Amino acid sequence: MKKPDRIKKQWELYQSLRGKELIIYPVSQKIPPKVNELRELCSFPPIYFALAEEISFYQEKLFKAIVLTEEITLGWLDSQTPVIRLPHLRTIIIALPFWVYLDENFLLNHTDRLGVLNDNDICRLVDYAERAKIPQDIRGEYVRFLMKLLAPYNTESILTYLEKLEEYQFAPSVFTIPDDLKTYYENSHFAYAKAASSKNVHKGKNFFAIVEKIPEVGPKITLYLPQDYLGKKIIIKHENNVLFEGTLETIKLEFTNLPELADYTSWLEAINVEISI
Amino acid sequence: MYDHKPNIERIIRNEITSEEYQKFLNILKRIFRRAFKAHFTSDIEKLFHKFYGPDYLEVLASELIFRIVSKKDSFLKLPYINEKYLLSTAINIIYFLLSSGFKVVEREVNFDDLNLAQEEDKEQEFNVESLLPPVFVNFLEDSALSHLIMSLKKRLTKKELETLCWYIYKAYKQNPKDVKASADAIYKRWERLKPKLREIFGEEVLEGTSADKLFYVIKSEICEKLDLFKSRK
Repeated sequence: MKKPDRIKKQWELYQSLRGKELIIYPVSQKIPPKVNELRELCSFPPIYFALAEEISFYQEKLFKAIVLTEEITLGWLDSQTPVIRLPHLRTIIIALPFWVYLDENFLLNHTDRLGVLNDNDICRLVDYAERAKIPQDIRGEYVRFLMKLLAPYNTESILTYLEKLEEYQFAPSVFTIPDDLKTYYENSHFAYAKAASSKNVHKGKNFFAIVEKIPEVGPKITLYLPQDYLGKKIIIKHENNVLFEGTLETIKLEFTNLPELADYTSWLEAINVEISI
Repeated sequence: MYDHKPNIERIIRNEITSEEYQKFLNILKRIFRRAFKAHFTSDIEKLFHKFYGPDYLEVLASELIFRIVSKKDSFLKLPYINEKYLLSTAINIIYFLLSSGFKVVEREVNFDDLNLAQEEDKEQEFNVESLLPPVFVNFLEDSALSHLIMSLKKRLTKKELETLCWYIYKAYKQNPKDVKASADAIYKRWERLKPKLREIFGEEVLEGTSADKLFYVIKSEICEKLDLFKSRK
């Protein structure tokens, strides 16, 4: 007898339930988000977030949120997949191998607080999201579908956060990328980056970056670094090329004379900021 | 598709008659039967029968109603609630109970109890489960393996399947079925097949699943039925 492909069946059911866009509803009881919380996005079907990290700057807060799902057959990758039971809701959810950044207001207005997780469990979720590989099958298709569905909220949250930082009006340090480096980038593999994203924003390990295309000036990248780096010697590299090395005087750095690329996603991912010893 | 929201609203507001409630329970029981048939196995269904008795469908339907009442705000926000959504919820409840290792149903619900389930505890503490019952893990592993077998059948040619089986039989020191090619030619075919297999399996090759289990399923589902693929090129 032919064995049924349950993963395929669950994917077909899921697709018939979920539209191409995420429809989300406002919550009835707004509770400010905090790290370690488990929250439910009011959507159809629901999506869950475990708040793993808070990135705060003055009054502004952005959260790193590990994504969890009720779709067990589709989301379960191996025996390491973290499973959380919510007995009071007769629900079981599992972690997915990715995370998003969500700003405080989005979480406040669109997610219900369900409860909290301890530090160890949050570490397990982060570790899994970083380590687990997305398979090349329907489960991978499902994970990528959800990533795409949440991408606008991730981008929007980072942009909103950056806009709020702008309101603090720091005087930026401005640098010009040398011409030879610019030419190198334009001729390198970065020039073939696919135009998949409309907004060129990126949250690196310890920085935020945004690329803006300014008429007459050309593309410009702005980096926002952590406050506690001020006064320290830092080095900013792009692959092996040093973009800046010296004492940080302001958390906002601008670089001009950027290469002309269709999309900066992979270019931004190659930036590395370190404190020099 | 039929909208179940009016019924659910009446349950949440405790305005439903006993007759209507029983009718809705019967609909939910039918949905659970469908969930078992299409998304689980008859063995899993038998486990529910064994642990919850002949009324296991009623127990499950009550659990779904408990969930609706516990998440009443979310359910009331939805513009409509169709059968597919209830089916998806039913599947999750089956997984929820399967992951409990069939402990006593945490709290039974009946029509008269609905008012008691109104307030949620907002300070709940949850844990990542460290020890899941083997029945839960095995079922998910088997689902992943079945899916992998489907992918192999779909993406590999007859010749490639033959080569894969030759390798598996060789690994088990068993005599491979007749392959009309020299050992050298098969070895070359195997080398060409490896990158394709890596792509289908993924780098992790089902971490946590033993190679034995994987090979066993490939052997029984593909190699022993190779003749059935004869028409494939």
